Amino acid sequence: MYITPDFAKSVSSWLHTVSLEEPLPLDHHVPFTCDNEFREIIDPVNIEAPALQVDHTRWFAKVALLTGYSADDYDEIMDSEKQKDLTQKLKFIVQRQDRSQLMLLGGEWEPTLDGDGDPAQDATLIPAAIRHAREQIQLDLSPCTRWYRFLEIHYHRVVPNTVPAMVARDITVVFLPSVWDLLPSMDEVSSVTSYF
Amino acid sequence: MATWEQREHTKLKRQKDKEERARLEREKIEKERLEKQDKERIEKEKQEKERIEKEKLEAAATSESTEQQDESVNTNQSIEQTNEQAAAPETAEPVTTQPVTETKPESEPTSKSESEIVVDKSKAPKDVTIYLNTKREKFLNRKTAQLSLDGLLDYDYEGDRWEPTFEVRRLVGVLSIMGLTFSGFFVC
Repeated sequence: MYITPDFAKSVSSWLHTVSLEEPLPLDHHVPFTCDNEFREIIDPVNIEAPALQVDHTRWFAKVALLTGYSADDYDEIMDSEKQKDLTQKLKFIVQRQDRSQLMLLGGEWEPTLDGDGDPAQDATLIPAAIRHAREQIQLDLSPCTRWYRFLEIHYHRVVPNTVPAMVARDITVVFLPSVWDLLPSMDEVSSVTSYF
Repeated sequence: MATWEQREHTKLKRQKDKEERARLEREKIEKERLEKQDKERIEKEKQEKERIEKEKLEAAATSESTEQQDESVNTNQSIEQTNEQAAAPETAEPVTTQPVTETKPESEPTSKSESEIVVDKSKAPKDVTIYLNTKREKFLNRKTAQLSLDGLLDYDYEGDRWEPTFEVRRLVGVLSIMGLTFSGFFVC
């Protein structure tokens, strides 16, 4: 595995948020449809990324949208003849740029847009993740009731043109939101489908 | 009696005239072709416009009757997408009749084309789904995709040199290390 030069450390936050008593509910199957046709919907809020400053820490909130597995998937995994693995059935929503570059949804936390507070806290970073997801895939994640803080990735970067060399920090926090909360209930679906 | 030079001069002049006539002929044909194309295009646009107008009228009529019935039902914002599409005055595509889960921003600043995403009926998914729309001016070279955990684990290592890809790989790596034990799923 290639490791980027600025990478400093990785913190497994899931150890505190996921437990045997309260596991990740992967059996909630959430189907996604990706539409990559060009449609300009909303005016994005354009913000220039701030220049890297001395002793400056930037926080990034990212989200991994997990599809979970369906009942059929479960049957296939359990079927010893088919030899399907859970890793083949579990899917993520990622963004692909320029062929090989993959990225999670999300972006930088901006106090002016996402609210002030301690960025180390989930409550401060979640609005940033919601804002970016809304802008990037037109999806409102605010109804998600649970946000599993899964991973923290720290980078240490040398600030250019500083003598002696100063180091600035970037911290990316990856969340797994409960996307199954976005699906409508059966009653809601049937009430709408009955019109057609 | 005409000299050799005079004969040559006449010959050249005739040839030039011939070429000029051929050029004019070609230009005339090209002009006619373009005019024909324009005419066809205008005709097509006119027909399309008439069709859209007709659809709009039908959609407005359908929406009116639907909204009257719908007042007492508190439906999910995302499911209402299909109704809203029907009422959209600017849309030219056919109205979706499938329950497409479309979560739209509410507090974002709105533009004139903000209203809603219209999905072509033929492209609409059969079941309830979360609909993700990526392509916008700001992210032209990005595409949203669903990749399996397995596929991500086997992903091209070269891509890791980019930080965003490194982060995806790191997440997937941690998930696999976690062995999904904590997911409540017993892996044999």
